[in-house]
Amino acid sequence: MSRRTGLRRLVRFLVSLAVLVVATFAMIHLIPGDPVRSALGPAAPVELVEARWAALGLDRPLPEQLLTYVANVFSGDFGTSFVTGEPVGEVIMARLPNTLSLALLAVLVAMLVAVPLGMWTAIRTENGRNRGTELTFSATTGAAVAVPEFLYSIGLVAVFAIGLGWFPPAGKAGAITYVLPVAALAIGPAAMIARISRVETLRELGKDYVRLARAKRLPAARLHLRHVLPNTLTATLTVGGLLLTSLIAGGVLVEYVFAWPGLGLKIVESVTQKDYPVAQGVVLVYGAIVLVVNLAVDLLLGMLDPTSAIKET
Amino acid sequence: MTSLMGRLRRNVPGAAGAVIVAAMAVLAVIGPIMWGAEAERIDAAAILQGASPGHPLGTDNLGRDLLARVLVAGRYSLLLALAATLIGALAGLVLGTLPSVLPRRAARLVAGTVNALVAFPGLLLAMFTAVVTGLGARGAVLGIGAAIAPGFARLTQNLAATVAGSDYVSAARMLGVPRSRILTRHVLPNIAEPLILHLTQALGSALLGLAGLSFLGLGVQPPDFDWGRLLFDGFPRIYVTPEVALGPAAAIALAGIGFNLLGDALAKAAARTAVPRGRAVAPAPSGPPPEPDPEAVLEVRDLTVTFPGGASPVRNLSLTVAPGEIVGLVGESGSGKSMTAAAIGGLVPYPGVVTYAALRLGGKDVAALSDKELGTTLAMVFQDPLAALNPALKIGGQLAEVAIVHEGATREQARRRAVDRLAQVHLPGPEKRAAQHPHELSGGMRQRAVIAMGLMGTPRLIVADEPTTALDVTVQRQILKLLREVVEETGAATLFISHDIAVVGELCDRVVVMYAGRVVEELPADRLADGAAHPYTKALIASLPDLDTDRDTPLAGIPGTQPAPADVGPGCAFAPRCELATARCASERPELADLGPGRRAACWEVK
Amino acid sequence: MRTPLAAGLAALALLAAGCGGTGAEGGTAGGGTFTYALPADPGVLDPAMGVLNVTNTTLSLAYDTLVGIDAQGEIVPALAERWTVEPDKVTFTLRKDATCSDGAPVTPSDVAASVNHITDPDTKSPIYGVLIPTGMKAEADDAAGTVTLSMPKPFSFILETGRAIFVVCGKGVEDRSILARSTSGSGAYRLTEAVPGDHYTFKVRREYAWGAPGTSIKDAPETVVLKIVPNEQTAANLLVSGALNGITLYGPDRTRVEAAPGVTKTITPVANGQFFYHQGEDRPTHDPAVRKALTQAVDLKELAGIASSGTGKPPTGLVLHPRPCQGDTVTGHVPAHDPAAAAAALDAAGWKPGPDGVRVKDGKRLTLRYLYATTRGAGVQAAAEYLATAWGAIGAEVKLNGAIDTKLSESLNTTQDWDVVWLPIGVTLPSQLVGFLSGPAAPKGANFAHLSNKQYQSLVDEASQVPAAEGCDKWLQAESALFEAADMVPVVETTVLEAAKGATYEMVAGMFVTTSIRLTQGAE
Repeated sequence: MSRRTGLRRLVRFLVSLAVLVVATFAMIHLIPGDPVRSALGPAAPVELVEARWAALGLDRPLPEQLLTYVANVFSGDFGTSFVTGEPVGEVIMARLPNTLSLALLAVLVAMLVAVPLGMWTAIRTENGRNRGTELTFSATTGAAVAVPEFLYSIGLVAVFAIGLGWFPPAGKAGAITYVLPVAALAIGPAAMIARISRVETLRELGKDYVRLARAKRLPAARLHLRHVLPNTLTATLTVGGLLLTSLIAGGVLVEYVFAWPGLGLKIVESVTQKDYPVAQGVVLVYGAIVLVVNLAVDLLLGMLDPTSAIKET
Repeated sequence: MTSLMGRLRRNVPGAAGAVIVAAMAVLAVIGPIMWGAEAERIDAAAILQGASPGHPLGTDNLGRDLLARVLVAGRYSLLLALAATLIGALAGLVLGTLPSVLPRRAARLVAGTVNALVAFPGLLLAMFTAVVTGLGARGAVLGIGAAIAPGFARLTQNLAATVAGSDYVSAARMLGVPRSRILTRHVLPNIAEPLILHLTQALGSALLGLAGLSFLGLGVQPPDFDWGRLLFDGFPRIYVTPEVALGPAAAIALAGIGFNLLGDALAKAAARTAVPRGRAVAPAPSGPPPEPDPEAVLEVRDLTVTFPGGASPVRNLSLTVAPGEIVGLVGESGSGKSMTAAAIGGLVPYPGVVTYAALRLGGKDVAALSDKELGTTLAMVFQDPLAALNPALKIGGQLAEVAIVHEGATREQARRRAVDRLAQVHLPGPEKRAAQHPHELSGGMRQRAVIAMGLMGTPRLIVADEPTTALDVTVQRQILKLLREVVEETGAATLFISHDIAVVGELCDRVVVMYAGRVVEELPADRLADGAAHPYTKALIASLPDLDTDRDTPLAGIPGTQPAPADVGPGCAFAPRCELATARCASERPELADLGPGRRAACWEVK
Repeated sequence: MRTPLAAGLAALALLAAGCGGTGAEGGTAGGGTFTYALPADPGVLDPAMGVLNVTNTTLSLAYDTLVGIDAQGEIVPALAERWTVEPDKVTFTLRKDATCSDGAPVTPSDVAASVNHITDPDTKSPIYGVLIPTGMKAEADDAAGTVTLSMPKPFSFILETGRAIFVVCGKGVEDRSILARSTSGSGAYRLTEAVPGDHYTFKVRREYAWGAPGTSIKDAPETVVLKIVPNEQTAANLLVSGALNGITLYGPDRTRVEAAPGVTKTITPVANGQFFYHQGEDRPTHDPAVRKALTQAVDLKELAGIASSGTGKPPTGLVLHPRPCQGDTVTGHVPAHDPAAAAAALDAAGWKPGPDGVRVKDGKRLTLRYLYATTRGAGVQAAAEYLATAWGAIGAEVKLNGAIDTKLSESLNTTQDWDVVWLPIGVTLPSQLVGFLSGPAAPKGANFAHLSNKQYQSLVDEASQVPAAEGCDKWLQAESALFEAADMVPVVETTVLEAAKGATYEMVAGMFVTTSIRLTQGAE
């Protein structure tokens, strides 16, 4: 990647971040309801509510509040929660790793299962061969994508935790507690990645370089792993990156079912409770992660696919 | 659309999807009429029951029958999902097409906003919108719509950009057609199909999204109810009376599966032509294999390639190539020449079936040859060198692997040989080139690299399938020169396939002319100008004003078209276009007949 | 279903849970770890700032109060061994042997500092004006070992205030900042690890000899872990699998947990399901006849079953158990079910059936906007639909308006866009209700339903002048006056299931009786 594209990426990153901060700020303030009143309860005297409004700077004009917020964020201060009084930075740092590890593992597992599965199906069903396999594959993955992840969660808990007792039903305590939530999160993305992997593999199999490699009588393993696989990864990784970012925020329901101490529930709570500092902090950190993940995917693709650098616009 | 439906019928998951979606539509119409009263009947004495004969899915907090409620809720759920999807699609369409109509700076701003929105988590977007616009169906629909919109915008933008870059749009733009007109006349119609497919799948996601919002308490509010709310209400009871939650969950999942499968099948049907079903019926080989020709490196006797449905792109083809000889195989596209090359290389795609009386390489049946022997003695060169080289691998590595795989060479040995072969094909700076990726080389360099790849083993046969067609004229000449040089150095037999009879005449020793899957004439290359006997060959040559002139449509002068493999009749395939054709030509096929040394033709009118 | 979103409204349910706990069976064992599920993170751990139920549950392990309450509503000694009550002040004499978790003795100055810190306007304590009445002052006499709480005017429940103050002692008195992440109290346990959002670990203090009368810390578990489990089903799964020793269950999983082997259970009343009529001048429900008719139109017994999913009890009053004033204020005071009478009463009040069945008076339709929190589960939603059906049957048009908690507070306090609201209010003292049920109306005051019940006001005024022991009868009559005027309708007393496995424990008003925690069956 040239230095110019690098610089352009950085500018884009900062612009996106700025858009994110302003948009979040605006959206949070659009949510109806008085956060102070809801935090203090209806019994609190009016003077107390007003005092707290002033203390939190909520009586100041919105642009001023935005500036204050941005200034504070740059000095590393995300504010304190209106509801619990905890520093937002600490709340996020305590929970973020749990959410990230779950999402990363889920995408990793999904990739490890789905890419080989998709490739294998593609190879078996090339040019309309083995229609039975193709039908089974598209029906299964089509169904797997359509089932919401919280149903997977419940099903997995009911069977493997309650029924068989192999795994703990909830909580985070050691490697074994990761199994069920990761599985619940991974099934849908795995189905999606498998479909993409298959389509991409089929596309590559039809190309001349594969014909040439076949003419060279390369062994199947070498042909598929060395020649085809790297060329399918561009699309697969792009989708994987998107899935990762969506899992970080979208794992809420799974975190809920598994009592996972992650960030997901905090997002939902803070939005409905109008806990501005928490919601803004979480979304900001989230946005930064999304941008970082996107950047990482780009870099990874740059390494895997030498042509992506020139495709860059 | 009818053909789309036809293809759909052959696709079992697609058909299942269509059936499910149709059933959902019927449910949406009749559900509230049939079970509406039952779904509303409160029975305080029967609250929170599990499954029973009277209530197969149990009852809710007011003692209402949940099966009836699930059936009734279908209409509302589907309408909401549809509304959310349409809102999202519309917003996305507007956001996505704006950049192609707006002035440059504003366009960039819109595109940037879309990118930022795509990065924003969909669930959060939906939640914010739902909370801001108020609890209930309206908020949920707008929320899911808002969550769907950025994806649609991105898709539209990408598709529109592709179409906008196409020739006809450029042409329209040069003619001064206004941007908005270009958008409505050219861009939108061309991206409609993928967008509609995406819409079908978005419907499934919208259903799931609405259920998710209900799960967070932000969905449809009483007294209205959709599947999401029924699921949300039943969910806490899932360990006690699972059926109360699984009923609505199954409805959501089923509808989602239906939309997904249907969308999938539609996409597939739109994207690719159907593969004919059934097995290819191959002709039985006629008699025992003939004696091997000791002079020939490549010996092909009665080669036929058949596809299901009776289409045979290659029929009873025979040819031989001697060491050091270059044989040109010419014909229009569709004449079967590339399929012949594929059959020789063992690359005929499924479900094609290859039969022959003899297909020998160096006197041995190719089926009996090991991968090692084939991989090192057969070199192939394709039309587009960029496609023939793996974009992800370095040139050197792609060359080296033949030596590593088939000859057990070490990495270093193989690399050195690769550099040596690259030097042999006059690639400047072979060391450096070996460490580069294909996209870093020019077209001519790439084709040299592909030829070098064929030289890695000890090639006895080179099959070059239109190796110069994709290159510009000066480079063409260089590559032809290189080929000639390589043949002289290695003594390999070469089958040179081209539609360009001028090039063939220049390069080859002998020429084989194909028409509609059959050889119609064979003659020495130096007799092309004066010795061609078959009317087709003559027409080919006659269409050239001068052998040195470049031309792309050699048969511009011959009226009519070559028949498709499946449409070839019993007589001479060229008869309908032939000026000399007689009644016999239409009913009876002429065999190849010797006309002199190295000259044969299949024509009744040639004596 | 109870969701974590409910946390916002928890400020209304100031202290949930009456007294509960689980009956002790089998042998007991010292040492080990007792694990209890909290439905949400306690958040801030400073006793002056905590307002959520879960925060109080958490703090009750590490902090003592001046006095406690037993299951019968009797005030019992805690840090204070005795007290003298006057209408506007109470003097507590502290026991001498109590020490703080850092070893410092607990002094009257510590107690006074705890109270005065809360009442200091700079603290902006959310419990000031709620649990600690406005205007309260504390004075310590370290030499005499006494602390005096005083009010500017007589306050009936001044002694009970002693239940609500978690006494901060030792280093935390000087440096309140350490209270954010550690505890500095005289309770039986001290916080050793805090992982917000996941768990809080407490270690026993074996020197704790000042627990509830007649109890001992000797056999209590070494460690108490409070684990955050937001989903009740998850908590139930964990309890059944043995990963938890104690949980509080609100929802449908109660039946499943009750049936599980080895689980001991206690049903505890927790709050009231009830609804209020808005009595603003322009509302149809301003007319007492309309309110009574609407109340008569509803089969409250059926509604009670629906609202509580069949787990509720008939309501007997507005104050949480254990009540300082014992007695049934509800039975016989709420208009009885009689739809025919209800229809007749509406006719008489001028609301005549309109062309579409909806009653009309002076061109105005009888439309009721019914407000409720969507985060309170399917029972509350079902109750809304039931009421809409019942009122629809007598010619009222009901518009259901479900709201998330912040929106609900805003509707109550500011926008006032409702006619009937389903609103549980959890209070521990009858006096805490006065601000909601009388005085300045919203949006200026806390009287969100614009009540003006003269009888209630005069009874409350009289009762307020004397200590609770003398005034309780009047406090009870005041409640009944509200029901008779159909100002509000108590529907059901909701209950929770306290379930324990491998352990026994008691809770009173949502707080641990720390010396009662025992592990059984030789659990680890």
